[in-house]
Amino acid sequence: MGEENVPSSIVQFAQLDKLLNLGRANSLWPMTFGLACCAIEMMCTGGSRFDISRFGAEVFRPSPRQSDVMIVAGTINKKLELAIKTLYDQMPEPKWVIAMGNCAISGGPFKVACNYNVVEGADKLFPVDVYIPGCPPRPEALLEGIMTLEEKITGKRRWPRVHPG
Amino acid sequence: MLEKTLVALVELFPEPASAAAPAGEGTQEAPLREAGVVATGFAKHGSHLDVLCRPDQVVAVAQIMDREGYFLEAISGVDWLDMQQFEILYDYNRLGGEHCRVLVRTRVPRREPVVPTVSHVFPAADWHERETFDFYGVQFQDHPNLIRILLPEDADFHPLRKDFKP
Repeated sequence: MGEENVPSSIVQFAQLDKLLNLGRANSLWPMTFGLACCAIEMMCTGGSRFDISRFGAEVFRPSPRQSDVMIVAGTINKKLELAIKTLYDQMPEPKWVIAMGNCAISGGPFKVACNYNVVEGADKLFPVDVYIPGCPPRPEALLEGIMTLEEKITGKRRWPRVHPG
Repeated sequence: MLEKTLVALVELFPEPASAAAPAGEGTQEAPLREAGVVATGFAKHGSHLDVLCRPDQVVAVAQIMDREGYFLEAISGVDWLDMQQFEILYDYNRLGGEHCRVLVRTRVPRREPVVPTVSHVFPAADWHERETFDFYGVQFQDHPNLIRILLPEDADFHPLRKDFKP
């Protein structure tokens, strides 16, 4: 049996799928899920200086039923675990999750031996698509995370990646 | 204001040499403070007055503070493991007029930490006492709703005790 090279689905799109994904990527509606300090940076990103509206994501939906992406911005406590799982389940497909900040990635500064109440990372509860490290990440980092998610959805990056040096 | 409060509070402590709290188990390394009111330097201690009272005097102190126009800022706990006591701290503050902050402390034995609630005088104490119960296990008598507030309701540990291991 010969080897078959199956291209990954990121490359093989039918034209309609391509159009749909372009539309989805350029109008990601986030769900307001600011839990802690990262929420402040998320609010700054929504403000006029950093402007998340350039990416079509200025409508933060209060209801999970109307949102595409859940930006988990902040610490998840064990008391909130059931609520956040319910909210994730209530989001309709296609849905994505951005883990913003160190607490959502891995428990952050609370990942110590005597941790008693913090869930160590959003990916312990549901699949995460993009991780944005930082404590808190700058608004530019959140925008970079949104661009990375767009790249994951469409296969193409909106603006070229800037390499330092 | 300071003097007025001091005078009002000192009424509660008629005998100058009364014991501070029910005798704690364990050795007393530092000399136990006498019950009563002490004027402390604000810049160093963060409060103008420091009151050490018995657990059953807590409500009377709260009523005096309410009468003098103070509000309750916070209720917190301290675990003195070597003395086998919990200390409950009440922060009172005053807006308008002369600034005066009062810290009220009381000690209870660690095996049976029971304090009357002040939430009938200051409704704000409701949640602060729930938090102190949640993290130290201090029981507040006659509290309207003494259940956990920050940890999950079915948690069975008190994390801020010094002998807590997760």
